[in-house]
Amino acid sequence: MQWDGNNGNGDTQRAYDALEAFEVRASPTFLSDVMQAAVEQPRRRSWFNRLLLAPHPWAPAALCVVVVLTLGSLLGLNYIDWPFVGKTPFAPIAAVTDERSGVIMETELTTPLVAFTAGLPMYYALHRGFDRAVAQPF
Amino acid sequence: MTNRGYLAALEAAILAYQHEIVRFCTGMLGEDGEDVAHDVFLIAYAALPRFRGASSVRTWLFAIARNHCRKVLRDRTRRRRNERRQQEVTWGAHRDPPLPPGQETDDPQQLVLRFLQELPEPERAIVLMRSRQALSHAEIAQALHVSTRTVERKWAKALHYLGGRIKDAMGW
Repeated sequence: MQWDGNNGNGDTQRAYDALEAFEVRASPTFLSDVMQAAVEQPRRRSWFNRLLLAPHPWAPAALCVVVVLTLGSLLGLNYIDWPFVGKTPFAPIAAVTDERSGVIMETELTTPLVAFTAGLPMYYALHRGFDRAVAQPF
Repeated sequence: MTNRGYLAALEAAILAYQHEIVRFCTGMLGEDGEDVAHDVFLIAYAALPRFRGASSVRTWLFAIARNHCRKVLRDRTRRRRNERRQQEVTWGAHRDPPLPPGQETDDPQQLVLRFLQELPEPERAIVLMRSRQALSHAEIAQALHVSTRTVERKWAKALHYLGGRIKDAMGW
């Protein structure tokens, strides 16, 4: 008989009874076996959590800065010429200067927005990561 | 929750649902499912911090068990395919696969187990979740991410099929 689901109405009760009678029980040692394995196995962590729970406490913060700087550089936001410092790859507020006169023509909020957009999830993950590390030190 | 809290929660879950999950895994795989059920509880233990209580613990455990059984079935199919290829290379001849357990028996338990293996995987999962009043249609729908109507339809279809097979085999 092939599976087609059309085998007559009277069969339902028969199948129901057979399924009710179908019983499999766990062995008496099941609980202790699982509990022992649970105690012995290291708790699994995602790669993201492992990264956030790196040995050095400042590693996540450094990662956050790297991400923001990388994004800032990739988006070409390194065109502010700071006094004494020169061109920096990261500016609080990016500005477009006139090439000949050096006068700031307009300012934009792209860099802070990028920093905020990248930093917010990083901060959230960081916060949660540390929260977990404190709450569940394994 | 501390690690000790998670272990206590795991122990409570095992005490409450061990037989149901072992039965489900055995029915899904067609053989002793205790090892797989063992892994199901360990997966649940690892996932406990992410459990938000959107469903009941029982529904959640059944969903984990179903996903893990699917993975085991996929791995088994792949392994058998490779073994068959290897056998063909070694012996140079096609051979029929060995008879599944329960093929030559009149034991109702073994027959039900065998007939369950003839059902498509989603129907098998639904039948095992629904029988013995383990989960309601709505809870199964939640665990399998399908509509309640789909669950009802597949449950009815599977019951008809199993009933026909049992009638043919045992003359009930």
